[in-house]
Amino acid sequence: MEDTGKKSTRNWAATPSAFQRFLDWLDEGIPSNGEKYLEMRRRLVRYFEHKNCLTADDLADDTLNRVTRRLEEEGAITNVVPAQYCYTMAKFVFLEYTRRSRVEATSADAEIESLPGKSGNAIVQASDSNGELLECLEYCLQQLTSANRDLILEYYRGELKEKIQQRRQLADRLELSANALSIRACRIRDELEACTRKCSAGE
Amino acid sequence: MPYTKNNHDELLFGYLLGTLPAEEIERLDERSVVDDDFAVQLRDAENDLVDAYVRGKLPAELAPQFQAVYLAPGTPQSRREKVRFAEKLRSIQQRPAAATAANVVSPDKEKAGTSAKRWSLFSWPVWQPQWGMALAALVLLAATGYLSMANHLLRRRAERAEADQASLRQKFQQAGSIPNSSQQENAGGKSTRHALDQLKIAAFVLVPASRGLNSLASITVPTGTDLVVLDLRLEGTEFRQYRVALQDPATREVLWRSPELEPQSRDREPIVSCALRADLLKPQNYLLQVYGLHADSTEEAVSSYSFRAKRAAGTGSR
Repeated sequence: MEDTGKKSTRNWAATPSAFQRFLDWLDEGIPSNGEKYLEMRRRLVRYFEHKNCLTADDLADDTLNRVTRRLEEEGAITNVVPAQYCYTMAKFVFLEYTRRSRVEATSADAEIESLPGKSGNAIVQASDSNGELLECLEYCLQQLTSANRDLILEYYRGELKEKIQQRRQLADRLELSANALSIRACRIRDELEACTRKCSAGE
Repeated sequence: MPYTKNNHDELLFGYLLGTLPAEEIERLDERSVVDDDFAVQLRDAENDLVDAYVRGKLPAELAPQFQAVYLAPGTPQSRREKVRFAEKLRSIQQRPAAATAANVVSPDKEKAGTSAKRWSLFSWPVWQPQWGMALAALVLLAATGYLSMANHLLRRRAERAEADQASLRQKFQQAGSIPNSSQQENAGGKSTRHALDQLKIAAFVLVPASRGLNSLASITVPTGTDLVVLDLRLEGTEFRQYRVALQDPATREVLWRSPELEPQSRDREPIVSCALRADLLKPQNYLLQVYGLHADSTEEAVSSYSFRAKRAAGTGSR
């Protein structure tokens, strides 16, 4: 897959109808109220993070924007499932990113904190914002429903062996499959992380 | 590895820490985006990996690799934040439950004032009445949403009925069935509006004959009905406009044709809605044919609806 007109692609903005067409295409006939879009974006962010990209969010948005544009230009993309197409586009975006990173000075390095290196299983000493982070996490826990709060604290409690048994019992109690419980716990944790991040940034 | 549940977790941890061969990593890169189950497992595994590190349960030989991937300079900041978050979550989990509730401290925001009360109130087991009230509130909210949507749809249907009424009036005038005084009424407009307010409408939903139902649908038109509104469920919406024709199935004579209709959505099902004069429907079988309209105005039959019209007991006309 080649993406021509790179500059114009990156500056292209989707119209509401183009974006809706993209959402419908992602949904593959089963409306998800945007959930599929959010999930795809989440996966792409993780993909770019795993590739050690410093701007994973931007790259994920760029990927989805390009897919939206391609869909708008071609009218339909029918020979490949949406997730596969998004991944292929993400690979292309990643290649561009690595080429750019080689020629540009990595100015983002200057923003990165260096943490004290410790051996073994060191507990991270982040900075003097430690207390603030804890306060924010406590605040964010309050914002959850009590059911979600209990779930997240119980799901990640305990050491590995007892954790497995505990999660099985939790799934039984909530009448969820292990997979569904995992999805829910991950989602709540992601929400908590995002809330904590915003709170500690003073938003 | 002693800390893992099974080989699958070894694979996931190896992928997260970058210790797998390049081809394997590329294969799992793709699965992490394309494979729904794998994506969920990966998220879960990453959280467990980070938790194992902050609890000091990661084997010593993996800790340097973990630090290189999650904590070293040059790694995405979101990864370092993930580790910090896991550390704080663990510290909260380690507190006794009562101390956790008592020590809750929130930034200076409005909601913080009721936080302690809310915590104690909702820390009861799930089968307490609070959950019933919360459920009732949810049901009420859903009902309100549904009623708002139904109201909106009824308004649109009324607007369509109004347009059809105007068209009917024109036809009545052409047929000379309206007394001379009606011309004054039309000019004034007020009596027309009054007549619309008194319009009696009966609405029905029909499904295509192809949906495998052997029994003929039946619609009973109440006495005194002026307009019959028919919502016809479509099998798809490949056309932007449709037209409906009412036929006598015995003679195939077209008794009535609709104007161009746009598809709508009802309960996530596509429909076209049409309105016809109630007096068109005699107690007999009918066939409604729906045509999709191409851009060049040619028609293509898309679905048909068979039904039997009945009249409610009593006289059926105005």
